[in-house]
Amino acid sequence: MTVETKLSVLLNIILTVVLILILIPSVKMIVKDRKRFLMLFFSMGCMCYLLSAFYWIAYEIIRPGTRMPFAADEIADCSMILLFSASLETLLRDKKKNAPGELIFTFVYISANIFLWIMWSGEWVQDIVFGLPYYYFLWMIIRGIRSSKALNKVELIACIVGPFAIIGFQIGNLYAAGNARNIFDLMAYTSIYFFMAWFGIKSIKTGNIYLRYGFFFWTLIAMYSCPEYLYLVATASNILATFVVYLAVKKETLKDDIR
Amino acid sequence: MIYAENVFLCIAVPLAIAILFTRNSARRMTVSFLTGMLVCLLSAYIGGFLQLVSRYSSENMSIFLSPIVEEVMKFMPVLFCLYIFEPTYDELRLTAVGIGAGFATFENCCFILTSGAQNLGYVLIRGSAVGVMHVVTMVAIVAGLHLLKTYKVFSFSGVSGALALSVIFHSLYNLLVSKPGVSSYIGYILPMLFAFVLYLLNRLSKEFNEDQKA
Repeated sequence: MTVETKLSVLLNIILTVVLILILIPSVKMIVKDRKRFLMLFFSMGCMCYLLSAFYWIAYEIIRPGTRMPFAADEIADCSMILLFSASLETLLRDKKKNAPGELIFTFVYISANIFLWIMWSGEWVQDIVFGLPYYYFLWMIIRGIRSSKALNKVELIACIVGPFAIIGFQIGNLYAAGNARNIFDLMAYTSIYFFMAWFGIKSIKTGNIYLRYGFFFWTLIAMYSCPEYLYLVATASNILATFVVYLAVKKETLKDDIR
Repeated sequence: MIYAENVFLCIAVPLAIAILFTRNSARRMTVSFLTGMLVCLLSAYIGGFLQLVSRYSSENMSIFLSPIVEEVMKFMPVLFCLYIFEPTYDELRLTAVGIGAGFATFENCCFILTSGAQNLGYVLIRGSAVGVMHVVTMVAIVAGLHLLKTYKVFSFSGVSGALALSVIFHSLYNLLVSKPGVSSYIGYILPMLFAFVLYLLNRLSKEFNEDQKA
């Protein structure tokens, strides 16, 4: 087992502990009141994530260094994304006000990411099928950010331009050779981590649930895009994001009780 | 090689006749048990086809694809029953348990015919691990569906979540038992442990519902 694999296992163990710690109070909250849809969907998503993490740990220990061709943990991750999206949908108040721009952005951005995943892994059926829930998730996040006015105009423009610039760097990296390739790599990773950190700080400061889910989404994108040690940093950020999302979900659930 | 269809017919005919002389929950259980056996046979066909197409080894097949095929196949009749007959929670759980038990029984029959039943330890492990696992995943699915119905949020996301939980649990079991040693022991204990946890949760929710009614 390599050092990276060991660290990956360790991070996943931490993730399972965090998820168990999240699940215990969440289930208690659900049992108390049957109107807590947000917490119900969130808890079910966390349950899927927990089993997925268990599977990952078991796989890394039992079959270290072998590629997972098609695994159940991807189905669990997919369901987690769907459940998190459903949890966001229960919060949205602007159910009939869909701006076409949001849909177009979501469609183009996720499609570009799926294209990149296919180019990196070659598993096109898998990447397309398991990429589909991300359309729903990103769309819900964007709708939430817009309706709650969590970002100002400049920040919104940065959030539109930035991700596409990253996609551009990553596509450039695919077709460039030599030094140019390294430059594209550096620019892509720097931008991904800059956006992830910015989303993280902004979401923790404001406490906005959609931004926190946005932070979670960015950590996933970083995990899928980055190799080796950068992947480990993204995984660690994902653990933090899971926890901050839980805090926001809990706050929203309790707020609903007061309403 | 065994002739699974012949084994199926041999076990299914007396059960099919038994349906004529049973009523209510006994009939429901028998029909579900038969359905579970049929689903097991169909899963084996689909699994065999996928193995040919994907060119996976038997081990990779059992770790990666079989759990998905089997859980989806077991889930179909439950979903059908839920939408067509609109059963109560107890009726649905009975159906699911019957399907899980039928599936596990038929699978165990085929395995025992293939590898023999001389080794009592092996037979016990097969019964208490794989057998229980098929029942437990079905109970978990039904509990998930019931939760969604109770909270009136029965949606695609919720249903897929319940199904995913059973798929990943099954996959985790198959992965753990794929290599001998500590991992396989954990795998063998897992279904029993999960069955116990589900039983406790069921009791707790019953007590909670009674308190709410009172």
